Amino acid sequence: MTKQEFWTRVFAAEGLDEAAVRADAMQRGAALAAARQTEKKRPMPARRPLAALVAAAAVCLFAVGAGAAGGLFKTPAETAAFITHDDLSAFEDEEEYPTLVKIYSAPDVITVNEVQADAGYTVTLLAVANEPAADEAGAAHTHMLYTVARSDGTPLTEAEWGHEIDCEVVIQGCGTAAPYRQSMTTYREQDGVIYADLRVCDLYPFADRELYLIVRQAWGFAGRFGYHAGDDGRITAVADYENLNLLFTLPIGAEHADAASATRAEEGWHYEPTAEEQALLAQVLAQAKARDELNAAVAAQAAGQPLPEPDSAQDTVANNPATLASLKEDMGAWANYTRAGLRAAGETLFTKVCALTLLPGQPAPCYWYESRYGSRIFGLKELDGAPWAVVGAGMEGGAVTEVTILSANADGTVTVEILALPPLEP
Amino acid sequence: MSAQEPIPFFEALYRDTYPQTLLTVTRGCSDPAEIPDLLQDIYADVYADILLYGPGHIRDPAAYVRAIARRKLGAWYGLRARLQSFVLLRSENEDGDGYDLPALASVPAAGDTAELHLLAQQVGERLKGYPAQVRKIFLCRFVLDMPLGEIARALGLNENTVKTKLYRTLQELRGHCQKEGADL
Repeated sequence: MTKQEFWTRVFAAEGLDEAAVRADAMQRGAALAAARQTEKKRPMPARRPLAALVAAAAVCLFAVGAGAAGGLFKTPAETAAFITHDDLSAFEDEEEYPTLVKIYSAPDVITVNEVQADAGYTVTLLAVANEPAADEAGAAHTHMLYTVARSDGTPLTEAEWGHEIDCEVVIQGCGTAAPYRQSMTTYREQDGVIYADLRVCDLYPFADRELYLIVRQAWGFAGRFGYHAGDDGRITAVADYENLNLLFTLPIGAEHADAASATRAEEGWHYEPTAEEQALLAQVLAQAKARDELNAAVAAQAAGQPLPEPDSAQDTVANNPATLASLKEDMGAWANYTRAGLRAAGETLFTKVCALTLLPGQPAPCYWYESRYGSRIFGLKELDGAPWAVVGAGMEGGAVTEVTILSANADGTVTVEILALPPLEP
Repeated sequence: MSAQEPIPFFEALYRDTYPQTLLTVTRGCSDPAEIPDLLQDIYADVYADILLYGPGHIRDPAAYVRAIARRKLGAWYGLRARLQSFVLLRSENEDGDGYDLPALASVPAAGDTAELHLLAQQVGERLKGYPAQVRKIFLCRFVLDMPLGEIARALGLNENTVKTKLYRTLQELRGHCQKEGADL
């Protein structure tokens, strides 16, 4: 056995087994593909010579330079055909068009052609289209067609685009971590310009709210610094944010709104726990009840004191089995506090009660919340059988200034609290 | 069999991108125990895309998988957790002691393969009790076979810190194993 084989086996104890992960991923991937397939499978069309497309582009009245973002194609359908490597002249009838082209050939396609530039990139939202459900069991989707180019004309490669740019939609009032974020992007590069289609869940029922396409230069949370969500759920781009943070408002007419469908969609994001999950919850809650009584006593002691002394009760962060050791290290003296002690000492910045939710693409039902720091998805295992856990600690100058606590509730929900902590005397 | 058929295409892509994806996930995760689930999540998405849209959909497999990995990490962890991770990594400023790396990285003593498997399992269980950062260092060093300097850069640590944590933990693991009658 080689050294690497030995240590690979060591990590297999944590489930890190290359072959097993591949097999499981293929099994789950096949299930995912089946779930996503709302119509008969769309085979990737065979690649065709670009000559016909380039020739068509050459005579296109609307052709513009690559740096400007209009693109080479006259209509959204032609752009879609380019992305899917299809030559529309090869089809006798529109009915035979590939799915994506057909979507953008529909009479109700919304042509937008809105150009925005920021941080060295020019992005054009070309069109928005609706993909109806293939049948009663299927789901409708909304598509957005857009281009991304560097403003100075330097070619943007597919790899660079994949690394640097992220696009997603936001529905006013639904937060940015909701399941509708699940998306599929199909794209193709030509002359340094990326032509892309973004497919998301059906946005049309939500058309009486503001709907956004956000285009940013960073993935995940870091990118969220570029946007601000108001109390009414409206999103604005932070003006002095140094990276790309464009915001398009999707012009889907309010007449498409369907409150019943929207409510159904939102309800569909929730999930009833299974018997196994309920049993785990019951176990967590039984412990929570006992420890809450202890915490209540500690909180009563701490009430009225601006900075309670670290208590000696056993239920401190340091003794909490679900809090990561590295977090305990970072918490420093705060690790000697109980949850009640932290609450008494700190100021509540954020609190939310989260219900178990089935998110597309997630292996199991989970909880999610959206705070000012972005989205977070977590499962029961984060509590690891404990009634509460510290799951995050913000630091400034080496000292903890904020802490995030998850607490299991009697009704199966989990409460998230973010507390601001004052400086601790040495 | 055509290279463009989904299964062989995926298997080749998986083989080619696994080490880099493992590193990306190791760097981005809060707890290495979550790495298998994250990897599975990432490659399930990749495989679903290949099945739905065909291998031709993916022009640059490495960039494609990396993009999905970043998106998945984004979905798994909130800003808080990531900030915590970054703060933790940057707050390290521990001087390390010099040591003979080849000796530390030596192959476990020769012996019966079954015993080595058992020893690996015991070491794995023991290692689970160590902080996430230490386990990340071990994963980078011994599974990804990365040099210490590269590990330090990848995890945002001082190279001496990497050495120290590796050395001390190896010593502790070795001590534990010797108590159990094995030699690491």
